[in-house]
Amino acid sequence: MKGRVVAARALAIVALGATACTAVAPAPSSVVPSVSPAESVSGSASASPFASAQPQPSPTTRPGALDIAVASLDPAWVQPMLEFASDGDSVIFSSGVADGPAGEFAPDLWRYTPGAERPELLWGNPRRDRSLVRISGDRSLWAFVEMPLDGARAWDLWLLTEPGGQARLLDTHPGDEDVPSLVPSFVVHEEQIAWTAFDPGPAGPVSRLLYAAAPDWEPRVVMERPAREAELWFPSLRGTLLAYTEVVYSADRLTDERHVYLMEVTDPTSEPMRLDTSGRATMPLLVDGGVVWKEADPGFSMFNWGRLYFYDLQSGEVSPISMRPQEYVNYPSAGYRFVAGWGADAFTFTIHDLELDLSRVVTRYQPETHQSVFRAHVAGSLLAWVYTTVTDAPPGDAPIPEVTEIRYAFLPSAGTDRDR
Amino acid sequence: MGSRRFILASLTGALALVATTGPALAKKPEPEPPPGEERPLSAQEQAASDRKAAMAERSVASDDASGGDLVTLACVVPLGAEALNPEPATLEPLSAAPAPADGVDGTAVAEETATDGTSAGEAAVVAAACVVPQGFLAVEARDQTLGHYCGPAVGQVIANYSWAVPAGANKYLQRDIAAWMSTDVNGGTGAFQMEFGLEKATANSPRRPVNWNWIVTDLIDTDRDGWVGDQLDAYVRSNISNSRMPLAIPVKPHDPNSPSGAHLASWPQPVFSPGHWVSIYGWVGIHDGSDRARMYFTDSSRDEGGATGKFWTPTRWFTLMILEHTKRIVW
Repeated sequence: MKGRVVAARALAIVALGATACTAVAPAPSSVVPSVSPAESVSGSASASPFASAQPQPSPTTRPGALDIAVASLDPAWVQPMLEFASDGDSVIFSSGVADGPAGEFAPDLWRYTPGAERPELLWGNPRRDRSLVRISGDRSLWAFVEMPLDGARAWDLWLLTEPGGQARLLDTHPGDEDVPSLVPSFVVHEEQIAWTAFDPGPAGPVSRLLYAAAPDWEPRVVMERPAREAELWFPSLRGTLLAYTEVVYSADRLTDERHVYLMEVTDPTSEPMRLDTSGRATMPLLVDGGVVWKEADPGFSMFNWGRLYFYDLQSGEVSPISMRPQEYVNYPSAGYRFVAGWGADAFTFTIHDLELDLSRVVTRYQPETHQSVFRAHVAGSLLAWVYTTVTDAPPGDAPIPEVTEIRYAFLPSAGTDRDR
Repeated sequence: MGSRRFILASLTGALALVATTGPALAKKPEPEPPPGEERPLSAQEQAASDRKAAMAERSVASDDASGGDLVTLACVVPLGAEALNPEPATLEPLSAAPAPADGVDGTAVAEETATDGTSAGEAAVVAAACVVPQGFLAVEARDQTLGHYCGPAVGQVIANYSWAVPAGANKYLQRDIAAWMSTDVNGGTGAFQMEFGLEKATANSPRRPVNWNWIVTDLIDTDRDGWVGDQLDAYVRSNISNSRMPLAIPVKPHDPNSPSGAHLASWPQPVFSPGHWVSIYGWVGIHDGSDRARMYFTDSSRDEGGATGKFWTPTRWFTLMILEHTKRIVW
């Protein structure tokens, strides 16, 4: 009964979210003319693997083709870079470029807003030997995990509410030897943040799901589990709905079950509702009308590649999400209309169109061209990914110059690009 | 147990390894490798490696010549769901749109693909019936008991398999294997110490092939075709499907400065690591330069920066990670 109530609320909230979201045009926030290279990937024809330097015509556009203009960030702007993501308006990335291109660390948070002349420093880190190993953003709210990379049991989770502003420390690893050191998984959404962390508990380490919201941003423990028995991971927020993964281990920890739950985060009496029946669901994403999650194959760790599924909040049915011909993805992300992920086949770049319930191919490269795509991430309508030509050629014997750069494109908004 | 101690200890260990590189150096001084790098193979070790590599490459070439690299008839004859292979062997569905002709030159193209629904379901049935070439060994992952015990954990996984111990049991304790591998002495496990430890841990075991020797092999482009992935592919396929033995692989698990960005799926966050051992126990598909072929591995690194369990990663990416570390394997 409780579950149905949550589902009904969820449906209402998500429907509201859909209306609000799809009404927003993904307009660049800057009017400065773009200086970054761009190309169309809709049927563009070029023999050069480095065709992004010039806009390309679209002479062979087919009905229904995914017609997007791709641009890239100048590597000199970002290297050395560690993490990147789309925040819906901008490509955000952690980088040590302020210390020169040869550094080992990525201590600062930057953003590049398409159309801007150059990237903007969002947060400058006074600790230059730290790196931001995980970042997330939602337009004008960002969060990041900062830590040393020497393996020390130390991380800090920071929240930033304005560019160049004072970051707020939300959480930190206690440094205890018995407290797992895995960094938090977290999500920011509008004026809220949810995250997971391991902490000391009265009877041993605990896994916690936490939440904070504007204006006070006071962390609140939503739930807690003994870390020996269970772990909480991968929160997703939309409106006041919170989806997350709970991993329950067998006594010998050789096996586990992973479930995706949904709850009302602002209602302390809300009873989480389990959505999956497989016991392998993880990395949930709240989207219009439902929840997307990943399932690794039986017997494999939840961090491994997996297939995507969609839970329909109205019907309660679970159905596979096609990323074909890409079969396996990891770390999925969702925007207004599309779901992206890190594809196991780096020569094939697909995203899923939730509106049309289709896999859409952004790019396919032949292996002989040495071009690959990985770590795709979408928020709002802005898609970002890494393009690289690194190969498994013998050291010093690469057949072509090695190029690695962040590329991005705005995806069609809801209701457009339907002529299929 | 802290990884920081592991890193510092490993660096010290690496230096110790350089300083104690064995009889070959004592007899005939050679240039010392840079700190943190392992010594080159001796002439005898190189010869043994070359023999094993050549045998592996001949073996897989023979398999390929005999059609062993082809899919079965089931791949082209749709079968019922009850005929599906339980292994995660599906690669690309037959009905999936092939790479368009105008993408052959590497040009980025956009296209639509088949829709979901009935046709997708049928495609999945057909595709799952395509038993692509593959091989797996029955191993179980183990947590490493100390921060610098990834090598002994790999030794334990391989010893358990080689001794055919029951599920959940261990043939040897990691600390015993660590002693054979000089892991505590060196603060980590070098390739030659791994080889020595595996010799001890699998000696006279029932699954160890007759006349088997553990070998350290440098991953190089032996056929000079411009790629190294096909060598790794041949070694893994031969070792698992013919010799039926897992391999011990050292990689940088998630190097923040990796040129390729490749990292193990078991290591979600970057870390400066002196290296990490995993065990490859399976393969699916034949490496053709694409990302369709995969290698299956166990990892032991829960709470040491990674995770413990079973994983896979495309063969090409595994190759990149090996090339970005010591460029060698133990098999």
